[in-house]
Amino acid sequence: MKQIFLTLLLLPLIFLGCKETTTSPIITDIDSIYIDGNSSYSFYSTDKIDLNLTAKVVHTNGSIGDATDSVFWSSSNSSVLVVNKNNITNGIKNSGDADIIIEYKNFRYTIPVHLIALTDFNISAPSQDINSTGVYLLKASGNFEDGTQKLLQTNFVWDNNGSFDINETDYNTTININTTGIYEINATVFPYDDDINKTKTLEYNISE
Amino acid sequence: MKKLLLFLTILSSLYSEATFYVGSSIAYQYEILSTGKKKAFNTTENINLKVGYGDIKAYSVEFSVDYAKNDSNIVSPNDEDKYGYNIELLKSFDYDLFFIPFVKVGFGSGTMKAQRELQTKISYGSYNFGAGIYIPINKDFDLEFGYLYKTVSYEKFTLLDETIELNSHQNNSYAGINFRF
Repeated sequence: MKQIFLTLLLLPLIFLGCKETTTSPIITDIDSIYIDGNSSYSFYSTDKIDLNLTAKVVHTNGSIGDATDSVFWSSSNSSVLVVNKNNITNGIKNSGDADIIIEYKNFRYTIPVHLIALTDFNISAPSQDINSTGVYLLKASGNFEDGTQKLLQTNFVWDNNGSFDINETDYNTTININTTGIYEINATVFPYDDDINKTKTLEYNISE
Repeated sequence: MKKLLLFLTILSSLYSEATFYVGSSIAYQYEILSTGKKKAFNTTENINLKVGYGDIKAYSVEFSVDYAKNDSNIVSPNDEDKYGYNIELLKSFDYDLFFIPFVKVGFGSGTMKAQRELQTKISYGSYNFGAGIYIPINKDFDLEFGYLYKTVSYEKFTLLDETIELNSHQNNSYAGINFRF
């Protein structure tokens, strides 16, 4: 019995010969985070923004991984730009600057975003005059501060006081007029932005 | 698991001719760490101070604190020394020899400062299993030689794109002295 105990007690001493000590970390660390894509963005204020961005983490060993779900996403000005997790959409303002921000504890990265402001706009029925019952296509186009003219996609609303049907898609709006009378069609841009809130009206007399 | 060990500890003390004792020991520690993908090794010395209650020839329960000098850099470029505590239950066997063999089980916990971006203090927990012998010198003092194995789980490390788990197998050979009241 005595020999057995002593033998068992001596067995662990075998590892006393082990002298290894690791002096370089085997677990890498976080060096930085960033948003994959452009270093800045510029959008026309009535273009429909629908960006899905990706956050990356750079490790101290040089490897890069996906951190989209780990970081906290935000907008520096949600009136200009709405950030919902990694999805970026329009705010309610016609002009301004905002940053897309990602953060995780001490780490932070921002991307500046600039809105190109709408200066004026027009609505029209480009294909034909509206003077009888039927379905008509309406368009809204705008002039922007950089001189560009383009169709409006978002941040404007059509209104006809409920007198006929309006069907809207991003670029095309159709109206369905099925009775005679005098109709007003209103279009308002940036209804929640007091700096530019403007309404344009078309009036039609439907006689047949 | 911890509650069960504590319950067994308390239960065991009721059935022994128990006395309080204090002790200290020095251990030679060899630890094999693994993340699953990578391995690391740490060889160091460990100083342990303990307070126990029990019968040297039956059961006892021990609470100990330990300090391990750490020269390795495994979780960061500057890993510092380790401080921990352990609670262990011992069962001794009286075979009427000049020594008294024992086995012990328990658990422990500890902490270590490190130089990481998100974690400057790393915690760990362990389950402990050991065996050894007491060699009584007189009625008050006894020498203790033993081997203690610890399976250690360290706090998880987040890298944002993944979480790293670090576990280790720790081998301790130790020698110490106890004073029984």
